[in-house]
Amino acid sequence: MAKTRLLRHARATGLAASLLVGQSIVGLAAPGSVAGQDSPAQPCIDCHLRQDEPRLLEPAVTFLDDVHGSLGLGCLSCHGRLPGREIAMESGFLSKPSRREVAGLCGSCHSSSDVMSEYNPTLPRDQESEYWTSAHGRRLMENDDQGVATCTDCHAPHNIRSPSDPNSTVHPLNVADTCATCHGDRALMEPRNHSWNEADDFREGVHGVMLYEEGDVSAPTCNDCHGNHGAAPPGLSSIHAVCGQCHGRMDELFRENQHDRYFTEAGLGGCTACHGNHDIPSPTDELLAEAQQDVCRSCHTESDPVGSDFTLMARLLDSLITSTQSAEAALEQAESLGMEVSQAFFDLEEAQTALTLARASVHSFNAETVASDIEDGIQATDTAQSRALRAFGEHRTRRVGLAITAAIIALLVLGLLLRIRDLDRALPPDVGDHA
Amino acid sequence: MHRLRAAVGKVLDWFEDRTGFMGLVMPLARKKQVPVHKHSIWYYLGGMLVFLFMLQVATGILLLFYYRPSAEGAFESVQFLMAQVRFGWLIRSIHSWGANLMIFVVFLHMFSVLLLRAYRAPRELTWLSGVALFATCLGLGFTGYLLPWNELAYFATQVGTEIPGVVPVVGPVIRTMLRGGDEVTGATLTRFYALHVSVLPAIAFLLISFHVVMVQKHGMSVPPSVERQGSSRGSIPFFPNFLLRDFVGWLCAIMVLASMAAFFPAHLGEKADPFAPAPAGIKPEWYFMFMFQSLKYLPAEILGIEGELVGVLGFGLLGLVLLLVPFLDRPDDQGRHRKVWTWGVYGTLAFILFLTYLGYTEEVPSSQDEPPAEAVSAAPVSIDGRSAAFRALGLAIEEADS
Repeated sequence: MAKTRLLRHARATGLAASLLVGQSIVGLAAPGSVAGQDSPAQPCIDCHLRQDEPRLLEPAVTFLDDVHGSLGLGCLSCHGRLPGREIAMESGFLSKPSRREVAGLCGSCHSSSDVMSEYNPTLPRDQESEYWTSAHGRRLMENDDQGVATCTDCHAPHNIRSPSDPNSTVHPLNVADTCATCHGDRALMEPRNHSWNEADDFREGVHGVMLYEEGDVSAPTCNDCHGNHGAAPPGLSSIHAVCGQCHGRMDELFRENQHDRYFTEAGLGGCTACHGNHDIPSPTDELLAEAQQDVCRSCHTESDPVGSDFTLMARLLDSLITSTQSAEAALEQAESLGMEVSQAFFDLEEAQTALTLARASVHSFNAETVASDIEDGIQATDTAQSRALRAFGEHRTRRVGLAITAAIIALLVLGLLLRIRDLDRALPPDVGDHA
Repeated sequence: MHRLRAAVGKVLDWFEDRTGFMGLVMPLARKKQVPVHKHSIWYYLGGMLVFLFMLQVATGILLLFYYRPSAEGAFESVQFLMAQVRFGWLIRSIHSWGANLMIFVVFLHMFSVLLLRAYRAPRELTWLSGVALFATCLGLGFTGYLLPWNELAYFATQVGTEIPGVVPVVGPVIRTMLRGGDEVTGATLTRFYALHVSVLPAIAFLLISFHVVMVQKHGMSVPPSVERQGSSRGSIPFFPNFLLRDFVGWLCAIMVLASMAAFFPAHLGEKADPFAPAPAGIKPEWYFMFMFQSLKYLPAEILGIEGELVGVLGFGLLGLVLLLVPFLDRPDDQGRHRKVWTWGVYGTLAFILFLTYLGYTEEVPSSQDEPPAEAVSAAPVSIDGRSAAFRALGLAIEEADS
């Protein structure tokens, strides 16, 4: 059934080139074992494995791990038909598709609901059409730029793997390297007026650190901001929306105060104006002062109230940080004295939450919004401080209690020893004192 | 004062007229004599144990008012008790330190009885009940350790309950019975709770009663060396002379426990998370350390038998020998006991102390000092690749390495 659909679709598109129906045809593009003796790909592989030239040998070696190979698709699924063992160019054999042909060739299956429903129903069907809207696709289509990426530049041909496979060229940990194959190549980028250090910058930025140093594969990489098949740099007006995919609260506040519009009008790129783009540093509270001096002054003059709000926001954040540190130090001291303050430590996490919210609220550019979050945090630190103080008081009480107990016990022991002495005196003289 | 004394006397007389209790007990107490000689100090340990047991029962009952025996509520209830309940910290700390002190005194008592040969006829049953009490105390310590449901207790229990599982045929059944399933879960907590607060205390109470009755019947044992040398300096009445000395010891014990509670309150740590990796350096309570450490040092195989199984069976055999000491250590015709038993006891004591010392001083491997893989596989005391009982500990160390 699957074979019939695949063949019907291949015939209809004409791009996979006239696959013949029939088991007698060697190299039939149909599901089956790739590695096995009866594999449709076996004749191609047999021959290519005998080649010395790496260019010809490699496809035969790597195709065994290819996702298409594992699904039973053979060489001719892409390269057309091979009657007998002869290469018949005129019958549609496509030895190597041109760069313009690649997207269409892949799309012959990947854009087909019938085929994709059979093999991988979750994959979107618009990857090819997306590609033609991408910066890559447009340059290829409009300028016939043979240097731009097409499907096989990102997805290693003959060794295409699922993005979740760590060996895949499009696994989150490998995406930047894959992009850098071209975007890190000065010879390729310079003639196109494109910078070539984005991947290196990205690695040094906060997202790169999350991804490569902390191993957090949920951290965004190139395609999360630029798109993958429809890859294109976000326009000035859409940068905040791109960042807002993850940083939703900041985007919401940024839109509410209409700065998305003001920034675009001023030619400033939303979030990137303050945070940078590829080499985004881990944000610090000092950024407030820097942004005030650099970015805000693009529109706001010295006399604008924006200055006071920014200073106030920085002070508010600082006050909560100081207060949290002080409460933590007090609780740690109480803990070192053996007091049970784990619940107080847990409750103090509310202050950290409030600080995170307040830092997000900075994007409202309104000190009152920030103050509201800071107030919740200060309340939490006050509670922690009072618990620490109570613990210190309790600790003193315990010491005093122990001293009183020791005094009472000492008196009791003394009384008992006196009584024992009296009793022992009444014993016969030959009984020794053994106490 | 005189009037008060008269009033109290009247009340006591009123009760005595109706119960006759003092008339029953006092002759027994007055009849009892305690020998006086150079080893008499060891006689105080029995009374100390009775006192500590009563203290554990009393503080345990107070803890029950707040403790919730479930995986969801146990840790939180202890946390609440420690932080919010007035004197909750004191009760729990005394219970915790009291348990340690009680087991320490149990060891002292047992070794003093062994070395002074107080188990000899006709005190065999006293000894047997004492060994049973020793096991019961260890059981109380083991089951009580898990009850706060914190991280260390959880993983230590996982290792501890894994150990009986290596015994062929019955081992897995015992492990499942202890755990209430394949893993340490809330089901384990509830059955440990039931054992800790009802079954084991009831057994301990019956054994203590029997033990005390036996001591009362046979009197205090005088060591053979004292008997031979005739160096006993007579005896003193148990009531009130010896009992008042007992009181002094008990008051000192209270002072020690109160100080420990004030300076080193019982810690709670992190709540147990069965899905979290085992933290590095999981150790059992100190009184199980020598067994734990011995099993760790055994090679993977001894004469074709799993090393751990040999260790478990070895400790089982040691327990059996301990139980049967009065029947194995028979005096010769002159009434002399063989020295080999004394040396055996000293050897066992040295073994326990040394292994315990190693257990607390051994460093947990870290990634910095991790030996090469070949060295690990060749080392005779390697934990890697060990069998059932150390899976949890092996996991802990691997986690620390990674």
